[in-house]
Amino acid sequence: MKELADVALNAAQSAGAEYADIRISRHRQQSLSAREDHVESVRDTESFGFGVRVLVDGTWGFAASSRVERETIAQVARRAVATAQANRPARRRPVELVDAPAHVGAWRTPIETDPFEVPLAEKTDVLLAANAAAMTVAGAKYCMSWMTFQNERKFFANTDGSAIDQDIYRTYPCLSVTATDPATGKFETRRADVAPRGMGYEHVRQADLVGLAPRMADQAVEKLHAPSVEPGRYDLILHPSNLWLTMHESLGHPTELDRVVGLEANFAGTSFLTLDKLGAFRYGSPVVNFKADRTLPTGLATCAYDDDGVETTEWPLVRDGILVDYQTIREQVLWPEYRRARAAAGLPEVRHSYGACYADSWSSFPFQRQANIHLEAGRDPLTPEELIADTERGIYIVGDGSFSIDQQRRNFQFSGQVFYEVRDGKIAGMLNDVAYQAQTPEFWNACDAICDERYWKMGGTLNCGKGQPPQAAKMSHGAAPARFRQINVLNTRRKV
Amino acid sequence: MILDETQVRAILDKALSYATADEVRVNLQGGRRANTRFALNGVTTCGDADSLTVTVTAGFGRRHAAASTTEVDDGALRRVVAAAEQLARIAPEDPEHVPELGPQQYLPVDPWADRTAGAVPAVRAEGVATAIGRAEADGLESSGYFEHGSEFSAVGNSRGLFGWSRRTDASFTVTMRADGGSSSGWAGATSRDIGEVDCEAASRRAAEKALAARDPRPLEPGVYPVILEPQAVRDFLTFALWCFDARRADEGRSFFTRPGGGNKIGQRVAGENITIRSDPTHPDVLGTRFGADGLPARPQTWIENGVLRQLVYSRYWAGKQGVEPTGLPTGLIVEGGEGTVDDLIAAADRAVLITRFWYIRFVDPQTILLTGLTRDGLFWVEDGRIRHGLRNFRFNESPIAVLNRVTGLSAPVRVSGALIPALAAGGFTFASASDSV
Repeated sequence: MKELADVALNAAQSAGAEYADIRISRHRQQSLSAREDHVESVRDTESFGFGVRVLVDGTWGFAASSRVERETIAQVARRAVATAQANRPARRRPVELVDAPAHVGAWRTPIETDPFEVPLAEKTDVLLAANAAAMTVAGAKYCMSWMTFQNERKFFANTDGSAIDQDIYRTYPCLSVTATDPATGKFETRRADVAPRGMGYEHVRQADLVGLAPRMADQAVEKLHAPSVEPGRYDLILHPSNLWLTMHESLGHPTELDRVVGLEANFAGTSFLTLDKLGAFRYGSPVVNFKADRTLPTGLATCAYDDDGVETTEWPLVRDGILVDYQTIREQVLWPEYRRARAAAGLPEVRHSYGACYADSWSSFPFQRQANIHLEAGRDPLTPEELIADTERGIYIVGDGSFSIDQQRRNFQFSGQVFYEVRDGKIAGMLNDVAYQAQTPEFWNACDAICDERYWKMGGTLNCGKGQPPQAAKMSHGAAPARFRQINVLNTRRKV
Repeated sequence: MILDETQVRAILDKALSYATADEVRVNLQGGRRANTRFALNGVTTCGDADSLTVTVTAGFGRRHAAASTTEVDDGALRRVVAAAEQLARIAPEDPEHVPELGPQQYLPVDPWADRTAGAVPAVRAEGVATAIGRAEADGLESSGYFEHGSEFSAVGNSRGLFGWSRRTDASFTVTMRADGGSSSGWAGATSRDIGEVDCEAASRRAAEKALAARDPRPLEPGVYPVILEPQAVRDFLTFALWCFDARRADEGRSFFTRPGGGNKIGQRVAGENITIRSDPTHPDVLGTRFGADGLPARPQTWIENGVLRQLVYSRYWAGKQGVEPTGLPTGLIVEGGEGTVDDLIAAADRAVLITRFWYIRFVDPQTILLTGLTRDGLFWVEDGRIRHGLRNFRFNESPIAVLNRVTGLSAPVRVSGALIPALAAGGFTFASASDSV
């Protein structure tokens, strides 16, 4: 690989690049799905290729190909340089990369069992057994179960001298059950709260789809007959399986520095967390502390080096409710507006990237993506039962559902999988048709209690979309159950 | 890279010759896609990727599986065929498995333009410079995306089916922001022929919107008459079209389920002025000749004068129900009326004019209730004129409900490979305000 990489780096430099990097990567995915009593799909995909990124007079150029051979690599490197040269007249601010030490190393997700090595029959048996378990529940009409395994084998080299080999695994087993009422045409679905993780097949074994299935089926049936919520203001208790997505959208995206300065204005949007807010803006209540962390074990964004070749790390984003930093990559650290904002906020000068660069394929341009971001658990002992007991009129929401947030990440609306009415400190039964709508700062400032670390759990996604063309990044978000006072709850039932 | 019919046949035949399964299908896709992004009135990043993917689907009786690779040398082809067959041998039997199709007749769909296939980075840089120039002249900040691709798709199987299709596409989108982001305007242009993508006109429209939207005023959330520009119609209707699966309807888990059993084909689901069809052969859409399974694409009418005429039937479900399979819609056309969005504005007493939507998601699939936000150009229209910009809204609304309240349609225009009109509708539910721009 190093030899092939050198072909690209040498060709790019000979053609005039002041910096170049190459990623040669093989992306494998196995996807299995079963509905009711049969396996619907068994699919293995493999994508192998390389992408060369160059800087010419402070202007990016990029080209990629699936033909990983010396001659093509040299041609593609020269094509990247030619693109940079064509773009140079329309470039305004020159790209300047902050210094980063060269790394020569390797890293592999510490998996116990390689999911690609597990016999297919073992996997399909789990799916069919889970479906069968769900279908034993009266009223459960349909069941879908699936497993996705991803392996990203990536070699990165750059003209700074880095040569990094990484072997990243991700596993996602899940199922959903649908109950229907043929007389009314009504139907409800309950998807299990199993999140994708940076793990091997051990995640499938721990997730226990077969054990989960009847409970999901019971809840789908119960949801079909649950009373519709009375709209109004409620204290919400959000389980981590629900809260992770709200965090992803309302804190993860607005702290991306490229959005903050306007680079994503045409599609993903900008951010309400403008640079003047750094170090001073009360994002949330004093119990709210967020950290970004690409070293977190089993996190989906976890690796040793990002796609700039920078060693990954952890850093705070919100401390005691105050915004204290953003997510960065190499080309952002020297931006004068970021440096000025840090100085104005009295924050120490930063001379390194936090390592939040990622490209979802060899054919994609690497840019700034979310790290794993988590809400720190409450410092005082607190159980979910105690939190419910302390709540007079509320709704306890489990699982993620419908989700939407505006382009600056302020106005959001989220739903869930199941909703429980909390009355006088007790669960009073299931509700239906619930969505909560809020403005980001009001919501996080209404957070008054977070359970302790015993209840801290990670959610996450394999498909966070950003960029043009859109790229799918993967990241985890951990939290413990938390309470939010007096949040606006809508009833989503309509007649058409 | 683009492979012609002869090159494709050679690879397909070779792959098929390595197969030992009862049935084998080989799909081959590839091409080049290139793009340039810009923001803050300057070029930012770019892309330019050649790709080629071979997917082999193998079947032994009712057992089947698929494997794909981006490598096409002899060794890689042998490996991918062997991988698909190995998986298929041990996959459980699928009672819903449908045998491969035999040879098919395909419509002469060829959405191709040599100018797009031959476009060089300088063509994109020139388009980007147009937007930046306009922004700088108007004191605005521009950002956007100029993309084009030339791609082919082919399918062949062990029963003698063969199909090859190609297409080019180009699209330019631009957002202009005024006063450090206090207002914004968006516009786009798309065509199979990059020479027809008018970057200057799109930049002008986006700039005019950003300037007209300055000092946006708040409006109380509620139900208002609306005018949706074609991009907004496309954003909104796409979600309804994703619900057109016949099987889900027949199984009782769709808006198109008929209470008591069956589906709503033949029932009125929209206003009489709504006709939605698809025609892959139309010269202004991006159609395809066939689906991944080789099923020919052909014109379909989905909703005619408000009556549901067709749902999407897979080969399996069509066989089960005794009807013809439809494949997915390709070359979508929403029938319109005459004139442009300006004529709808001129005819409006009062309405909210929506340029485009953002982050639309399902809230309740039973009513196709969607939520999302307005973005990049929201205006108050009164007595036939745009009066001022409005602050953005979140909505909770169903496209089906809106299609029952349409009061006017413009002539359809090209949007994302489809033909879509602007529409005026009598009521649209805005749920809450958003200060975001």
